[in-house]
Amino acid sequence: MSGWRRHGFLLCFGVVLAALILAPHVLGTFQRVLLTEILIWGLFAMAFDLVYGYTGMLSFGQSTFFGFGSYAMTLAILKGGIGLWPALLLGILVATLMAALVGFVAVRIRGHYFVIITVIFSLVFFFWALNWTWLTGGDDGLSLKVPDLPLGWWKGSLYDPMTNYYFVLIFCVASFLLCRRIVQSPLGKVFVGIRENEHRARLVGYHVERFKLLAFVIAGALSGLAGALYSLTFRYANAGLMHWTVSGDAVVWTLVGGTGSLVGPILGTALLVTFTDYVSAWFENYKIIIGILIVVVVLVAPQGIAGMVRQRWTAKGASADG
Amino acid sequence: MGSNGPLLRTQGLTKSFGGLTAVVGVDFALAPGELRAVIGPNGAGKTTFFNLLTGLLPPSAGRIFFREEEITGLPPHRVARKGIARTLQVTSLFPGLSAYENVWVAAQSSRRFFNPFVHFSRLRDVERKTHEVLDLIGLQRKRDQLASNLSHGDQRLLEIGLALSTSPSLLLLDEPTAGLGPQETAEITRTIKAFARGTTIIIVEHDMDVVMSVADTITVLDQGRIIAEGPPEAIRQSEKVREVYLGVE
Repeated sequence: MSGWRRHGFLLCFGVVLAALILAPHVLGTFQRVLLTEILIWGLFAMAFDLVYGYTGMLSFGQSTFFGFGSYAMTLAILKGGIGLWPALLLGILVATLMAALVGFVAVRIRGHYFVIITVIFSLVFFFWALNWTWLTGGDDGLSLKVPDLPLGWWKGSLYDPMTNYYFVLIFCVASFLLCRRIVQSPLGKVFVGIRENEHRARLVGYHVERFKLLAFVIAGALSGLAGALYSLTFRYANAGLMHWTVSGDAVVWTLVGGTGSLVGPILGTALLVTFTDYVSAWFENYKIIIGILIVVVVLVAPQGIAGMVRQRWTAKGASADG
Repeated sequence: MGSNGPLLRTQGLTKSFGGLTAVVGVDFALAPGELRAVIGPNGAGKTTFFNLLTGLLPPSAGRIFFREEEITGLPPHRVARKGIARTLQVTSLFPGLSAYENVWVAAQSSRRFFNPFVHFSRLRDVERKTHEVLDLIGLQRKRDQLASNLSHGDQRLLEIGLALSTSPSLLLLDEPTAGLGPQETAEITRTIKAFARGTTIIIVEHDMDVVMSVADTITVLDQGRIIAEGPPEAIRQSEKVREVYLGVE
């Protein structure tokens, strides 16, 4: 049964990966850029799923780490003049550190108050980025001249659209596999236990805050990576990336796609980002349509698309057994 | 330190909530291997006593020793790791997880390191413990059902299972038969007797038949104080106990 399930996963994963590898050769420029954007935001939403879908913390603060990843890398290149790899690493490190800092305070707070404190943190850092224009460029942001991409003896450039696409793809696929490994590991089971019943988790001997912080920090690192990839792809960073509504987008994508599934958030992101892109081209108030779409999804499939598929799947399996 | 000393001991344990004192100067001692029942009328301070022992509430005064090591004021997860497990009066499970996963998560908790890079099914010892507990509480056949879909009686069994999975040296059962019918109560009583041989247990229970049939010693609490302590027969015949407790019921 589990072997069968594993093969099912490998098959689906292989097909999707092959499609993603072939995609830029088939798609036009506009769609390729759109797909790159989906991969980056999908990674961001997946990181949020780790915090919310698996550990049960509804955080609106993830944009802070996306922004710090983006800014730290951009500034390291612009002001520090360092290469692409160390700059990317620095972006992730700074985001991780910020997540540890914010998380240290936030994970001690529960329920609605947790949501509020993450929004507050988000706003604080947003206004900070907005006002320190000498460093961050504020609302206008900073433009980035992306350095070369040294890969052993070969030197690539992220100005080449194909290189850029595959660069992003590799990080997204690696992050997905990492997250999948984590949620299926003993550690992942602790996260889910905390989501299901924090009090009980404490009573059987888990230091709940420590595990929450760990989930928060891992997600922060991945959000930072997403932010850095964003700035490398679109060659800019601005204060707007830190706004809490950016976190809000990830919340919506994840809810629509299905929480606690990793694939769901990516699916939701693909759906809504594509939708937004096409609809906003001909309808100014496109957010109304998206709002209606979300209400429909929540009513029809409260567990999101992935949740609905999983339910059908297990129902089928159960009837086949009987 | 010696193995002859009490497993658990409290010294003048006291808890007040504002003007109300729920537990007053309780000196309690429990020998290893004992099955102790704590009884008393509603509001006698039984659950508060449990909450003090497990670190859910900090005591206002007094001290708690486990294996002659002071555990007063430790947070709940540290107390659990010392080897004290408990069930709750109101069932508290991981509702969205299967019975198997419920027990698995609890069985894993005594580990020090939580590897994020291996599949969870690789932990053979945790798997073994999980099956052992599922057999003991008789839920092996229902292991794939979500905890939230189990019957109330099975949920009470699983609640005990979660506490047992941590391989505790001391198990605190808070009204394990609350809200159960006679058949399910018999099932729980049978289960308790089955694992009582290997574990030291304190049970808070309202069902006097259960108490009389499982306990070695009974401690009677009234208004936060110990008013009597002794073997079931002596307690049954005690005038004082009759007055405050059995008479009222």
